[in-house]
Amino acid sequence: MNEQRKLQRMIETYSFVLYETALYLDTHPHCRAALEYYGKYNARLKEAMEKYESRFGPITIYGNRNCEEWQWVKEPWPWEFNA
Amino acid sequence: MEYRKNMRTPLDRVDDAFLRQMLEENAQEIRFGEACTQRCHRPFSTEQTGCGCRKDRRGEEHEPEVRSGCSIGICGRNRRADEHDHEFRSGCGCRRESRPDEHEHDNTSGCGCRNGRTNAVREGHPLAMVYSPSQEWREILEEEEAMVHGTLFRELIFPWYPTACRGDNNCGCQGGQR
Repeated sequence: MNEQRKLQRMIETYSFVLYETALYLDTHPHCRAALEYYGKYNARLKEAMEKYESRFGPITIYGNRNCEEWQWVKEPWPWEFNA
Repeated sequence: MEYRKNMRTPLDRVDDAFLRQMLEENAQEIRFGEACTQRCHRPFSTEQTGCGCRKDRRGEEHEPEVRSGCSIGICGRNRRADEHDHEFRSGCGCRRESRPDEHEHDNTSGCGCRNGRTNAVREGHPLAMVYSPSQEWREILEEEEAMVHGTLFRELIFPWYPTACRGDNNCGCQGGQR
């Protein structure tokens, strides 16, 4: 697994974990343990996305960092990642 | 007896007597066309009903025109008797025959129709209530393990072990063939 794929996998994993936590928090909005867990993984997700986008380009349309070029359209589309 | 629309749940909005009356009226509405001497069971309407009979159930001009095929002879639908589905009778989508004396579903038919003689509500039993315990924040999986199991919570790991369908589930499959 190359570095790019590793980072993608991390982002997928953290996103999933956060989504699960969010669903739990929907019904337990005052659960401190869950909120703490959410904060921890939210920071990890941001860090992973930052790392990915700085090296491999935008992973969402909000991650374009180049003022000269719209990088998003030059990246592989989601279904092309594993090609 | 009144409809308390500000109450939180449907059950709170009606008292038992109101619920019974509502169900009974509903059943009556479905089962009997009051002024229709031809036993048309369309809801009241002054428009063409589409069931083969004309006009409304209020009376005067009711002239059924039985077109063809209906062995029961109530409507003009051209259907075989064994799949005579008068969806206008109950809207339940079942395919029971629609003679008034036969449109009485038992509550095991699974068709959702509320006309059954054995319907528990109409016999005075309470509606079914759902019980779901509140989840707790515990037994949190490691993130990679969570991805594998499709849940973050060990308590929610319920593997699904599919077995071959025997063809009796009305699922449209050929039975045992996947």
